Amino acid sequence: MTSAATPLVPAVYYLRILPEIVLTVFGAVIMLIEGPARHVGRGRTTRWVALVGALTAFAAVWIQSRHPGYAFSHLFRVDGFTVFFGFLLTAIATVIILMAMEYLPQQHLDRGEFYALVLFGTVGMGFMAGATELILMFIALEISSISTYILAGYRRHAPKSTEASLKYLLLGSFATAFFLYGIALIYGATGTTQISAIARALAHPGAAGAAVQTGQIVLLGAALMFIGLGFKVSAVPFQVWTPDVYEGAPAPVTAFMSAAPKAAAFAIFLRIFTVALAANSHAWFWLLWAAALLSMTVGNVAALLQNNFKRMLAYSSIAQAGYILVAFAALGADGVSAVMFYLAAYAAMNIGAFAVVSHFAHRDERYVDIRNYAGLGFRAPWPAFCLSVFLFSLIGVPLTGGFFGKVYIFRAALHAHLVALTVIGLLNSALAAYYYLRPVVAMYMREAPLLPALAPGAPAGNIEPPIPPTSMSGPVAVVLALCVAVVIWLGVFPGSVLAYALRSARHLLHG
Amino acid sequence: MADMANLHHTILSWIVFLPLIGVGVLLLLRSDRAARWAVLAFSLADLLLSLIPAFAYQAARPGYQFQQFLRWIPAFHIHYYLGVDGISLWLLPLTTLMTFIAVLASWKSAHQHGKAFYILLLLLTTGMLGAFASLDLFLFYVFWEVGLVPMTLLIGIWGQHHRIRAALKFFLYTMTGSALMLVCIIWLYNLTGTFDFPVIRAGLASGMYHLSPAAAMWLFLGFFIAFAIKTPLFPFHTWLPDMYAEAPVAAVVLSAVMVKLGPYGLLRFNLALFPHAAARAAWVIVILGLIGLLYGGLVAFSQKSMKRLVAYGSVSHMGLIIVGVFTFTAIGAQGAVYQMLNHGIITGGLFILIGILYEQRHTDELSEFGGVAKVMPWFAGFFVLLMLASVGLPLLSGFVGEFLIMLGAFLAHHAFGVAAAAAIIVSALYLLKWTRATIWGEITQPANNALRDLDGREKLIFAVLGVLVIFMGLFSPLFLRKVQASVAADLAPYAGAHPFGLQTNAAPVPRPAIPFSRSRHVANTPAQPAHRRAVTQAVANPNHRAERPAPKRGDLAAIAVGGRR
Repeated sequence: MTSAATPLVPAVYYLRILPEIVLTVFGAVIMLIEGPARHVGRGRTTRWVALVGALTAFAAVWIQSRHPGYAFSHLFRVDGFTVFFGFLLTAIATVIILMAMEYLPQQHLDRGEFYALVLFGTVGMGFMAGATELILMFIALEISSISTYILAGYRRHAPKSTEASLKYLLLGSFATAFFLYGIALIYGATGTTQISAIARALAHPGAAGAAVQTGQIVLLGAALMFIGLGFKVSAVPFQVWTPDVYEGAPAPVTAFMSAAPKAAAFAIFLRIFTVALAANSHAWFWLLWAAALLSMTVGNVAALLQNNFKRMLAYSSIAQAGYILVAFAALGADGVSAVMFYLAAYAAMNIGAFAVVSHFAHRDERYVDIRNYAGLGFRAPWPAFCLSVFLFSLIGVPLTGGFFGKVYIFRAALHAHLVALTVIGLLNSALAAYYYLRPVVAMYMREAPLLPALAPGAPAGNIEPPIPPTSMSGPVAVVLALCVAVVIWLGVFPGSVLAYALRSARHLLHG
Repeated sequence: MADMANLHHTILSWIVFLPLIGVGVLLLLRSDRAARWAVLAFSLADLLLSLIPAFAYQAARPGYQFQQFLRWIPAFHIHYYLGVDGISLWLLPLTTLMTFIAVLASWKSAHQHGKAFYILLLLLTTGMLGAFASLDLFLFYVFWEVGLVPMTLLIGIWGQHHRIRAALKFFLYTMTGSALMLVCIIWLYNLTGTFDFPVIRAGLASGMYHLSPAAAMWLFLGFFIAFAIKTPLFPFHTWLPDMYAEAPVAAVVLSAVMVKLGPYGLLRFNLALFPHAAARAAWVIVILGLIGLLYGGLVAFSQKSMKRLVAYGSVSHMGLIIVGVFTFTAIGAQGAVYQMLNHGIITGGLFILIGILYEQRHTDELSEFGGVAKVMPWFAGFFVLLMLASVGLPLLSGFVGEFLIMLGAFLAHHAFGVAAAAAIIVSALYLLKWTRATIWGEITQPANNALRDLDGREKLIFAVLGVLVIFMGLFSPLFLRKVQASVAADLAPYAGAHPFGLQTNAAPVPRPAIPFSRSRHVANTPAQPAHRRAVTQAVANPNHRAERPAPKRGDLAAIAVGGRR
């Protein structure tokens, strides 16, 4: 009776993946209309389609959140965790599209497929956030990765960009191969690829049947997946690609890569390690501990030496991943919610910083050296003020989201008795203040060098030319205002986001 | 009546945030000139406002007054909780006064981007006032850190040649200490589930929250390093001379107030929260203070630049204040609190004087001056007055603080008293040498013949400071009687076990032989019972909840008194 009445795929399943459907549809539409629109001289239509698509997807996440539960034979699950990341990822996509509206025409790269790729990449990340099955996780990871490989090489006439794309592709493929191998081993040990089923099998080894040798296999599988995901979140020692790729990729793409795929990869990371492999936490805990310590320290120390703003932010993002890993290592609902909160704060402040860099980059990204920023504070007061807010938030000065995120992380860590990690982490953030302050110093405390007859493109000796005056376009102004608002809001009234993250974390951990 | 009661609970917020309102107004103003007058008006208004609690404070009541308690981040039990006691009471008017003075002092120094300068000045003031008035550890940390940013920018944008180095040094030093302090604050939160300072203090004192001696020592050290860097206590002092040499005058004047957060934090947090650890560490800290006192004085003596001379003199004086705090005697601690006020006023004044010379000659080398009294009589008069106050001449404010601290040091241990007294002679040496080289003698440099004496604005600055220095020298009990009870409560845990073996029965003579002191209020009260009362109240039941404002309908976020956790 009932089975006859129930369709094979209930309609609610589609509602549960509605944001991904919306993104796919809009991405496909962009691909379809790009050619004709350009032909009739309306090439700018696609960007607005993309913007509407991203905003619709953001709204769709809200609809998705009204229908919690599993979809498609336990492949995908809508819970607080999925929804949190859904909002975060679609918001990031929206902001990146706004950034690209100014950047792409400036670089003479204004093509619709850029927007389509951003949307498709977001589809993959959305699935990463909600996937509860290892194969879907892998496919989603690949969808998001392939989009970002292409986006990284989008300035295809710039050798650095091409190099970035190639490097990212080769190393990224390796990393996903490791991840896949890890999946195979876990499947071999437990006989399932379902997250919850794996958790059950590992919690009661006797029930799984072949309990004799599985211990080592599971650990090996966990270690291999750790490598794959460690690459995606650029944790040390899998970070070597990050600076080159971040430097070479177009600035909005770098902003995108530093926030969205990282957040999505952390979502997978959390689901696999704190749910599926929870029973073995004693074994992989030290992997996390070491990765956290190394990422913070290596990232910060290397960032001290950078002059290129994008490279500096690349190393900074490695260090920031280290802070997030500290929260991860704290485990429990506190640790998971600290990861989530920090990812949100990090997305706002990091994308904001990249938005300013992208705004000032000019044709062929000529002005991406920190020394270019000399004297900018009084020539371009508003972008400079916004950049300062983002940098102070990255340092962790109170009343910013970055500060509260750090407090939350280190509270969780201290609660879990990770005293050494906490002390080293906070001392690291004091060290990091040095390089985060460098742009502030340049903007406000240095005078722009006077270069009367500087040939374009030929810096005279060691002097970096100051950034010429630029007018800010509407979309970028919106991006900066949004990011500043979110950073301050998360720093002054973090309560609601905090409570939501904590609830979702409990959801994740206790079913 | 209801309005009066309401004002009573919100007065501290008004004081703390009035400068922030000023920032809002400044953002709307177009011209630098208008901004200057606006900032003067706001700083004067804040100064007057901050005198209200200073006068209305009831000396006999221990505990915190003018409390305001609101929810801020309920998920984390973070509260907006302000209040003052005798330790912080006078630091508020000190801050607002020196802001007002700093605005006057930087009136004419033609600043580029004047509006931004004044905005940062006001932000800095809010940060300092908030830190002095906070009774919630998280809130304290927020204000403490928030003050850091405007100060760094003030140094880095408007400073001298090596300003960037000085600014970065200042920021990074303080940030390192702050990081350690943050670990400790979070640790305490994990232990107690609150950031509420009086609750944590009472809980630790009563043994409700168990802290192992080792953990208490680590926490003590975490807080201590943060405050020692801020103070700055030898050997954490190396950021200070750079900053004094490079920063604009107004920033140094406010820095002389900001560094008071160091000894204030030690008194407020370290001594009150970790008495056993403090007692164990006391020897080392007193010796560091004495080293700083002597070392700072000797280095000051050998300086060729006036700014650096004042900087090392500051290190020396701050060392003495730390000695006063860590004698664990009521007298010593009162002297420390009093000396914090004096030092803020005198150092600020001396530095403005240097600024006046620097503005005209673009140098602060001692060898460049001489015989200044001949061309600048007003300047010389105020200089000598402030210098003598700094040396500690009787009848001037510096004497009271130094004398009380030395008395405390003698009570704690004779060796400390002897060492402190000997080291103080050094301060007379460098200050008198400086005066002789600058003020007296013949004019050796022709350029000095053209020096301009103080104008009306500058005379106003030094009239205020000069009157204050004399007034505080003559009528110290007016100030100290409001300090006594709180200091006694702070030192209560040490009553039984003084770290230097002092017999506490004889120790807390609350009224030392201060010249010209006549305080009816305290004289009538027998010393010991008052002391005891404070002790028992602080230890057994700090009872601060009873003093909290009763919840009033319509108040923001429902002031919660009883069931707030």
